[in-house]
Amino acid sequence: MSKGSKLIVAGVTKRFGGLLALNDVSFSVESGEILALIGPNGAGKTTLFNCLTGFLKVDGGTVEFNGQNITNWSPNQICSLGVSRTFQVVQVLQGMTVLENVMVGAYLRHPRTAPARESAMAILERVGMVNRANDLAVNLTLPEKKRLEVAMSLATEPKVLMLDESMAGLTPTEAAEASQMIRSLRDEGLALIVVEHVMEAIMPIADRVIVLESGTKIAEGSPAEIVSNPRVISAYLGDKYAKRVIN
Amino acid sequence: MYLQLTVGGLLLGCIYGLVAMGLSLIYGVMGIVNFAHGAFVMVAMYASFWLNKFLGLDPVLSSPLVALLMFAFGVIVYHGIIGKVLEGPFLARLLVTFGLSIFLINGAQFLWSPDYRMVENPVFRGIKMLGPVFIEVPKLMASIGSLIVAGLIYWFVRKTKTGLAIQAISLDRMAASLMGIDIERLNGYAFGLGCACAGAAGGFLAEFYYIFPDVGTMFGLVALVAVALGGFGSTEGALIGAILIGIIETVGGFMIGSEFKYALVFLAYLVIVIVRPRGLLGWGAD
Amino acid sequence: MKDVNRTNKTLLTIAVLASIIVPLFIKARFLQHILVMVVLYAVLGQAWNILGGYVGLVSIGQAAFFGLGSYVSSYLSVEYGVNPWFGFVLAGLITALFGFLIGLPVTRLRGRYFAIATIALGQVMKVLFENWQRVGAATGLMLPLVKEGFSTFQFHTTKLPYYYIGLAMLGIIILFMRYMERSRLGYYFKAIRENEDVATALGINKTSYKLIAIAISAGITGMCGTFLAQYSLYVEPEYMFNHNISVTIALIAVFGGTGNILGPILGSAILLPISELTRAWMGSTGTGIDMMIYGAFIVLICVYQPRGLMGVVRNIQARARAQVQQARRGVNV
Repeated sequence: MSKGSKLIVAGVTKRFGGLLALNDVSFSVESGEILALIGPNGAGKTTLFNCLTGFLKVDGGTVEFNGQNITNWSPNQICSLGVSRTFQVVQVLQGMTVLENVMVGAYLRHPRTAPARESAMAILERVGMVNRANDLAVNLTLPEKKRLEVAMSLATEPKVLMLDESMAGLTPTEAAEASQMIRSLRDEGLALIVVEHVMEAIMPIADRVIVLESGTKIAEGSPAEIVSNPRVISAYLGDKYAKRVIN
Repeated sequence: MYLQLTVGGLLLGCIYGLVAMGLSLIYGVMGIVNFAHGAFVMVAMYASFWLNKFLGLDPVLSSPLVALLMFAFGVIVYHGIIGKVLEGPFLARLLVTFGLSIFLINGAQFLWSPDYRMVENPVFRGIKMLGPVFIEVPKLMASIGSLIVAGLIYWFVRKTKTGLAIQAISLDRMAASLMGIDIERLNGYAFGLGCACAGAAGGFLAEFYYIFPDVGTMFGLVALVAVALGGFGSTEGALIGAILIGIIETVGGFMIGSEFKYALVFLAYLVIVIVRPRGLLGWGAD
Repeated sequence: MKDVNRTNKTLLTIAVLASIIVPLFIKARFLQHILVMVVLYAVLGQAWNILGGYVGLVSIGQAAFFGLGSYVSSYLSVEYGVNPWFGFVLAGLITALFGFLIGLPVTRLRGRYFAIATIALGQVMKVLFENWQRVGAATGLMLPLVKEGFSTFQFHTTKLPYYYIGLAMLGIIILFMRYMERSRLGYYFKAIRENEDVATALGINKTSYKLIAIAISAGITGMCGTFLAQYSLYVEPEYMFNHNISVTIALIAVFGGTGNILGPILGSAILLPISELTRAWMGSTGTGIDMMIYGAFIVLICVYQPRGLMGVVRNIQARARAQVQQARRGVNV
């Protein structure tokens, strides 16, 4: 995977009618970095994902990837370029097998079937789902579906991977495995943007954190800086958690 | 001239509106696109015709009775057929009413021959001048009647306990069922009410329209387009869509030739739905 | 598993051989007619299947493409004496282009909005052709009777050649679909059917693929239109653009099962004989009883067999597999 990719978000603004869902949000992320995106419910995290991946049109601001302005491109174009995502509410191709799901992703870089299948199997191996390759996606458990979704995204061989609450609902062991996976992806040179509610899982692995509240970026910094930021504490984390971390 | 045409279209639109409202109600509550709705209108028209022939009842006056009969018919159809496919796949839900429609239309042809019939000596007939416009009395009566029935249905759904329960089902089936609402029974009522709309409209139409087995097909399709225009699930949308179609049909038909009027209606559907993929006031899933 | 594959292969070979050889012994013209209709509707069902079964765009207006195709070749033949085979190919290309153009706006619609749009399309096409003087308006066109033979696409003494032409069409489309099922095209089609958002998030341009599907489906359906025009030697709007054609095509898919190759063949092989036989027995009375039975039949299928015959087969397979697994578990314990 290529090093040196960079996604730059500058002043992105999104309105739903009178509601300002995203207000002038700017940040960037590059290869070999895990950026955690946190914020209370309704802060605009998923909206931001949708704007960056073309599922929503932005009302202002630009999204730039490796020097190319991709603002308001269609989702499939953005994916072809190497920016891939998962969904908050898990979305897989229910009526197809696990392998087929991943193959659909793999076809993007491998138009022929045999290489696509090989690539898909390699990814299933990696996420530990080979034993379920021939099961229908609809029969998976929720954590398995989430894992499958990540596998599908990986199959498109992205340079930037955006995970929307991929660890929600996982057991501590599973979450630890997922963290390990995210780390190893970073070490391979991917840029990751991770939206997460499970603080214990994300804070230790994040290189940088940005905090959204009501559509506005209120803080950015290393995990240690974020948990000691009084504005973040009052907006989101709560005193209890802050004390625990500081102690 | 255009005023004349617009008024004509408006009157027609009100009758379409009643048919469309029934369709919309059925769709809103149970997610069934009723392609047999036109056939229900046809059945009601024959019912009016025979009531007139044997009992001497005028179709407009007997329309409450026909609506009641159609309500019963609808409840039976629901429990016999529709209720059994509700959990089935999309295609089966879509095609079942096609089958019903083919069955009813050809059943009518089998029983009563393909001949065109007309009610003899209707009470309402002739043409009146209303200001600068000519108005056909039976059409006027039919559209007034349609509006009254539409108002009654609206009142029933919004204000009565049964109506509210039906609305609850259309909003959230699961929650309604948890609240102790008997979904099967109320679905049956809703389907019956939808049929009653078609029934009342058929009664009004029988006053001045030819009656033959295939008569309902166009009414059904036009009502369907009206519902789609208004947005599936929106009763008011259906009425607005229907009136729009009535006007497009009469005014447009006059401008480019009446043989193309239905083509024009469908083109209008294509154009509007493409601009607004869920119709004018639509909501809900695909 | 190997045994299953071998049985399947044997069955397939038998079926192919039977479909080629058995008709040779059928001399009754009416039975030959039924065979022709079965293969014709099997092809139509497959064309529908590409669009409805794989991509998930349910069309109830295939008659629009069917009628257009029949008119393209017939008009060229009547007006300019164009060879029907050339017209056959041209009909395919023109209806594919027509499908593509219609698809530009229509494929943006989903679910029932798409279905209703196709119904509207079918009706509009019928009305247009009923009023288009140049192509004979409501009376349509009569194809000139010429010497029978493969080159003229006309056969008078026996209907069997039509059957074999239809069978060849079916064979070609099956080969195509087998290729499609195993290629990116098929996977992408299914992905769009399952979840459009996921499909686009994985880099699929859903609009292009939907347009490809509707163009292929329309093109094949248009060629079938030419086939029926050459078979009956006349075209008229009420016949070629008949709404019942659209409904029957969709019904075959429901009955047989969608999203697989075998479904439409099974559906057509069972449904068409029933519909043609009831028409032959009772249709001549003109009372509509044949269509009444047909309508009742549709309702019964939807109520009692909504997942199609393939659904039944799959249920049996699943049950068998479960039993095997249970047996294995039993051994392990």
